[in-house]
Amino acid sequence: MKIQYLAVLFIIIILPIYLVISYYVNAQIKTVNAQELYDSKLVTATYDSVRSFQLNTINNKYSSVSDSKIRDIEAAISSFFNSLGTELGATGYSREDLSTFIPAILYSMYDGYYVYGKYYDEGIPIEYDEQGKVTKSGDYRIGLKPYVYYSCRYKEGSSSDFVVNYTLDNTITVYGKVNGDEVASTGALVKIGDVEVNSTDIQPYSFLTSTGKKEERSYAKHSKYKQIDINPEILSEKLVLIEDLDGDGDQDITVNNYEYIVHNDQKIYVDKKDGDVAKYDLNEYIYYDGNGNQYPGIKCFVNYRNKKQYLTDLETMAFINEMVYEDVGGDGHTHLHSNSACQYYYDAYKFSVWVNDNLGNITQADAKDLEGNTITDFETNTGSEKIFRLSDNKNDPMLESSTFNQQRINVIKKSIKSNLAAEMANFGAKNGYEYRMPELTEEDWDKIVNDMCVTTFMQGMSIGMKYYNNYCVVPNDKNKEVVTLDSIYIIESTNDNIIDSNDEVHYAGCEELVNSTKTMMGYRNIDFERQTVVTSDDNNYYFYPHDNTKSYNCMVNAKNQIELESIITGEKLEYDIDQEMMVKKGSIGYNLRKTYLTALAREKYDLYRTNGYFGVPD
Amino acid sequence: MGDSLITIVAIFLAAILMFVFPLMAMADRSDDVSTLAVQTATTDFVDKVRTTGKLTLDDYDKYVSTISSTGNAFDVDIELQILDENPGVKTTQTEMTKIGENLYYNKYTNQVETELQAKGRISLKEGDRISVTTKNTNQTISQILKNFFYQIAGNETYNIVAQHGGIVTVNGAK
Repeated sequence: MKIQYLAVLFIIIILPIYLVISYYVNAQIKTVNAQELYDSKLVTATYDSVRSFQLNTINNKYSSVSDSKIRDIEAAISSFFNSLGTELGATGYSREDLSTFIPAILYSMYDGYYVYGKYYDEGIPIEYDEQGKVTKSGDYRIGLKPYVYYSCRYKEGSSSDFVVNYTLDNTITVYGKVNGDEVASTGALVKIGDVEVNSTDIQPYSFLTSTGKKEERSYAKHSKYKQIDINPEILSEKLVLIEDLDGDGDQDITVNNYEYIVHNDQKIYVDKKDGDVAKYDLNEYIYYDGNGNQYPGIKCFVNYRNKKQYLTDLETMAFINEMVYEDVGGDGHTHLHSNSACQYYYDAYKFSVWVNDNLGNITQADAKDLEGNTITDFETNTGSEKIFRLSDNKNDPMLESSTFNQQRINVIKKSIKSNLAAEMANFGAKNGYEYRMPELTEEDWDKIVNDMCVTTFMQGMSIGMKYYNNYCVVPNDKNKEVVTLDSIYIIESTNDNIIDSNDEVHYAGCEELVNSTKTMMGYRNIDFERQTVVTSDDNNYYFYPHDNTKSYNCMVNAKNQIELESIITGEKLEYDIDQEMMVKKGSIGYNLRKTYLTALAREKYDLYRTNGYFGVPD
Repeated sequence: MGDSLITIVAIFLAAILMFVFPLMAMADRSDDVSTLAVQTATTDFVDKVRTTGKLTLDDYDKYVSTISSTGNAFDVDIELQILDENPGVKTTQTEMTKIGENLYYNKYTNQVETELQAKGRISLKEGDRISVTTKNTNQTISQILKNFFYQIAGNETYNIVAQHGGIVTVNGAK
């Protein structure tokens, strides 16, 4: 009998232990499950926010204007909260309720960033007296804080004290005192030895204004970058126009190919007549060049609400006239040419020479904060390397490994980290939980410093045995703000040397293009996205500016591309599985390099810049 | 005679209470922990593919070794759905008021593994979908003990299962 007692005693002891262990393991399981669930939902909600921002900006002609941009961002923030509320099954929760768990959302853009978070607004009324007048105001509110630039102050001796605004690519803005002179200038940086510009590459032209004054201008019609000839090119895309063409009173929708250029931040299209660019008759619009010769104006227009708005100002007429000519060995007709690529390299060369001469001795030690103390907590120490010494062969701003680029990444990271940390600490302790900025991984920083991104942070939700704390970074590579190395898609013609809708479009790094000798043309990735036009009677019409089908070999079935930097340098790098690193394996064809470098320069030059002081200081 | 019968029954009962019952309870707990480990590994793996756009042989091997370290054998099913927007483009070309249907074509585990072995990684683009399901193929201790008392018939008996999927948010072909 004794053994039963022992057994029962054993059970009485073991059962509580078992229950406690069981409870603990279950609680841990619930916590980890909840954590994963929230992780996934955060990624999905962030992606929804990015997608809504993409859709809004692609279809909006004015999306680069700052008011419109703020509206698009606010819409993207609403998408995020709606999506999160749906995901968490808490559709009843308003934005304010969910906001307590989202300490910050970071929208990093081309030359700065917005943070959505808590700030102190002095204008919010809190107390009223008997007559209804406000006696006390000032409270915390959650909203979009002002734009912060990626800027860094440098001070060299007493003659130079200036600020450099960095961007996501190789463009910078310098303003302040440099060598005793006040300067404010924006430009792209290139390695000086890479660009060759001769005096014959610059074409002067002139025209008479309406008051008879002679205006002299010039433009670049050729340049050479890394031994590739950069020439003017013919750009064309589809455009939807809503006009009453046949005079019957209702609006007809037409979609046609038009040649275009970008001049003065406007996309200007031209009409065609009998294959040539259409001109006005001499009794309609004319302009005079500097020597008094008269020319008929070119019929050029901009797209205003899907209608043609013709431009007749003399400056545009004179410039467009220079760009319309017949190609040597072409099809016998006049075409509109874009010299944006040549102009980009020429302007970049002039700016880079100025930067090299005036800022060439700046090192990381010259970076100062507001009080004039040296900044020592940059992530990468570039030591005594000269950041802006662009005549140095190892300092090519177009490549990731240059000193300039290292410092750019340092400045962006430092600015974002310090602002976000302050923002989160400001968010306030709630229910015993202190908000802290988590450590972002290197991969995520890589996304933020090279592309427009949305970063969301979610903290403070109680999930069983701990509080949730995580973040998510989703890049937005289809936008109008920045042209990165992978923004260029290349259309390769079939064997007829003409680019049209029957040709397929490839990624720039597609293996098939490396040694191809067929005619190619590069355009931005957003020009291959579908756009919508809504007419006054609420009908939707869809079109693609470039309606080429995506190649199944590289775009639909996303294949490994070659490294895009190798198209710039000309050396083909391939991933070797055995050595587990990139090794040199051949060179890139001239045709691909020419197409890619021309398209990249042209798209960068044609970007709409809101804050640019263009022109090299004297 | 009656005494020894009761003694045997008592010993039998004691044995069950003292050994089998705690063993079954612990085996169940250990299965729960294994499920948790596999679920975590699967979610991490899928989320990594979703946020980077790349499915590398390295990640896949790490994933398989993590789930195998629970001491069980697993059957991994990967399904990739690749987005094809070209039918949409062709439809809008002919008729401006229509948005064409996008196509998805599927790639299954065998194709994925062959491609991984050959090239080292598979790149995905924004809009593609990935889904991973993992089931155990061996019999865990808890299953063996349970089978002792009652048989569960059928081929598809598994204790440890994990599933996760989602849409890829980043273009991985860079």
